[in-house]
Amino acid sequence: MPLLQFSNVDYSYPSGESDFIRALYSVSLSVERGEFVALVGCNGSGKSTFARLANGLLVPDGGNVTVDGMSTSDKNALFDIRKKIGVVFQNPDNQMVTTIVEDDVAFGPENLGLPPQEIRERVDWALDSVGMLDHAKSGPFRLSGGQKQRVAIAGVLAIKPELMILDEATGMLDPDGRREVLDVVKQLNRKENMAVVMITHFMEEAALADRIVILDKGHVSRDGGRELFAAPEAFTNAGLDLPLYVRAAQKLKARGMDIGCPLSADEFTDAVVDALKKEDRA
Amino acid sequence: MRDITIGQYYPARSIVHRADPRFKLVILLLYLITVFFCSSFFSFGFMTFFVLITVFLSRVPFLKVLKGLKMIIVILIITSLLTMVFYTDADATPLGEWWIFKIYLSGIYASIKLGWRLLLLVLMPTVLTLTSTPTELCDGLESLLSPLKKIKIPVHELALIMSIALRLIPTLIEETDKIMNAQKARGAAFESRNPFKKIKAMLPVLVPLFVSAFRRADDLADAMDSRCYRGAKGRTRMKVMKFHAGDVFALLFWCLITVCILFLKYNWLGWNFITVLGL
Amino acid sequence: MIDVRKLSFVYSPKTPFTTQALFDIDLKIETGDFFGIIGSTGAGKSTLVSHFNALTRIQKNSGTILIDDIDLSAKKLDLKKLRAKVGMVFQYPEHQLFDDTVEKDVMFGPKNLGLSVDEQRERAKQAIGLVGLNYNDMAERSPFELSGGQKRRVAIAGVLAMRPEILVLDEPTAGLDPIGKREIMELILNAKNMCPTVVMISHNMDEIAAYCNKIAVLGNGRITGVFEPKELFGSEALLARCGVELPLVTELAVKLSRAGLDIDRSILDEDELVRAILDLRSENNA
Repeated sequence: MPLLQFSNVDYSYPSGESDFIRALYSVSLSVERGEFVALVGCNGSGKSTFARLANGLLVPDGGNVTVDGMSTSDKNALFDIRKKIGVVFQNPDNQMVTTIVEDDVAFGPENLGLPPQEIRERVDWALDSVGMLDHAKSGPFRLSGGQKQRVAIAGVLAIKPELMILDEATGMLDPDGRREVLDVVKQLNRKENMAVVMITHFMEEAALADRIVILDKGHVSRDGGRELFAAPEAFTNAGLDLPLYVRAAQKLKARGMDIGCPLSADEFTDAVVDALKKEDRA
Repeated sequence: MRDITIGQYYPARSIVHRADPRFKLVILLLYLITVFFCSSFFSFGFMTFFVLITVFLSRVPFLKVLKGLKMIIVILIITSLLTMVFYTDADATPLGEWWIFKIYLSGIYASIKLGWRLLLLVLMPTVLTLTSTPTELCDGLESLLSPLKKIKIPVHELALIMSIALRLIPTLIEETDKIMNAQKARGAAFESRNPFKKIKAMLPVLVPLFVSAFRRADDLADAMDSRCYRGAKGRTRMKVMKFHAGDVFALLFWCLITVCILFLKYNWLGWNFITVLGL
Repeated sequence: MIDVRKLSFVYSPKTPFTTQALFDIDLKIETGDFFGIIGSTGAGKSTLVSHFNALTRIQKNSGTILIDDIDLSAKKLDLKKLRAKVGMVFQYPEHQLFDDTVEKDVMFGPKNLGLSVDEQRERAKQAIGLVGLNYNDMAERSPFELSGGQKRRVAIAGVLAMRPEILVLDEPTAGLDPIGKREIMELILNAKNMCPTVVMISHNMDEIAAYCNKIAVLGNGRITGVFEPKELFGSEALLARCGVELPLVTELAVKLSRAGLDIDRSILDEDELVRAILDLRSENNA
């Protein structure tokens, strides 16, 4: 049974006086345990409602969202659903409930009704996993954006969910902060085998995932593995911008030099060097 | 605006930090009431002595404590001066006269006592918030008020509201600053005399602030729900409040201080002899 | 032009909690510059820039700032005149929107300048067009029902309506997706026709490299140096001293160079990089 399943989900929300904006229509996809999925789409693609539909903050107008078989439309199941799915939102300032880091991370386990000693252990473990154990007694005002988001991740981790959804969690961070968060996420997926759904509009972030789902105007336009990067048009058609090295690779290809689709600066370098060597030998 | 010490926790290991928040709150209440019973200079000094001991025991640098007084210093000076200037004592001769104001010796004494009282009233709450995390305070309050649940008062929700307010107030203050700067950069002037104009001038700040506050509240509610919040049902705490003999002792000690102050005020058992010069 | 001489700034002066934010800053921003200010968080960039429109007043004996003929250390400043000359767009400027309609919100600046309602409207119309929005569509709409990108444009229009000669921007593309970022930068370039001088604080080295003709690096409240982009990004020594990262395009050039290819390490433009790589190929064939 998939951990998270969207079946023909439709969702619209009101806009202005009488209009409705259709955010998602007929969206079907499933996420299995341990997967690392990137959900990409530009603004208006519907990706911003995905996270809230996944954990029942929003309920679909049509179709069904189930978590391990439990439907998000079932109010009584929401508590158990949210034990399995954790969401880290975009704004680092609006997720902290209290003014002390360790108290905030404890908020989740406290809601679960765990015994105090276990909460303490989980809090320490979660903070250690994100590298914020030294700041356990700090307040939000002395933390950088990246640090606050790591605390938010710890707060979700402490519940020990099986799937963590990052809803554009790096959107408001500076380059250092983004790196911190992405490193933590990669590590969590690898070491703790935590399933991750990373909702983003940065292709560099999507490149970290094993599976990429492209949302275009509310509908799934592509759902596949890293082979999707071989045809970057799928991304531009969905309104996404390609990272520099992919654009440069496309320009080179247009002039007869095919270096494939590099997904990082290093891949680009290696590909260019290889291509030139090949031409040398030719 | 960064120096709002009320609500700022100063982490340290001290007896005061470790004390049970429920006892701290009760002692604070007792203290605040007692401060109003201080009448003679001796009683003021008596209270101050024990407050200073508390500050010392809390291991918070004195400078930090003083920071919390920064905000009321101006109010303090103004009210003291006003008291001194407007105080009238029919039985005494004025020390000095200036225009229509007469300064009496008893007026000076009264203004000093007023200032001192204000100081004491702010000092202890400052120490309290420096040595207790907002979560501790709210948990303590929730626990103390829990008997009220029997008459259907939503104690948990109220404590949560307080806790979130303490969390968000500094953030909102910072945001107000930012919004004011943005509007000032567009030529807005907030220094109008006309009260009508002044309110109108505040709209460009109040509207964005409210919008922002509601957005934060929405976001925070989503984050809380996502972390399995469902009210007080089944909720436990990481930091369990357990009181110790030390807490009981502290409470009894402060009760004793209250009793002493009452003795001094009402001259029971002729305690007034301690006060010098009947001050 | 902005002439900063020996500017210093101290928080909470004369108290035990005092901290110095700026130390003897000397800086000249010429008319027509697209001037970048970079530095790590806390280096003092925002503090420096907030002096330019007197949101922060110069402290006693703490240097001077001359903006054309306005002396910012004078006791009496015509704030309206100054703030009409120096327009400032803060981070996440959409948070300042407040009025019932887009047009009214953009008119706020001109209104504060004391212009007639017709002039206010005229300026609002021009500014809304300048930021790439359709006046007829947008004018009567509530700013709160717009998308994030549109809100930001309206907020910037609100500042452009003051017709500033100097436009100061603090992280104008913060929080936007890649396409949004590009659109805002194009908007700014567009606006530069009206405001000859632009000062931009940014963490985004790609933008700094692509648009600025001069870059000031701030570190711990001091100016580490003022450089031209090729000068700064082409020198590893300078970069290390300034604690600054490379723009992505330059990083690629450096990596290729380290891999043994003969490539100019200070390339700042994507097309230049592509050409340089293709040149290598034809060299091999020759």
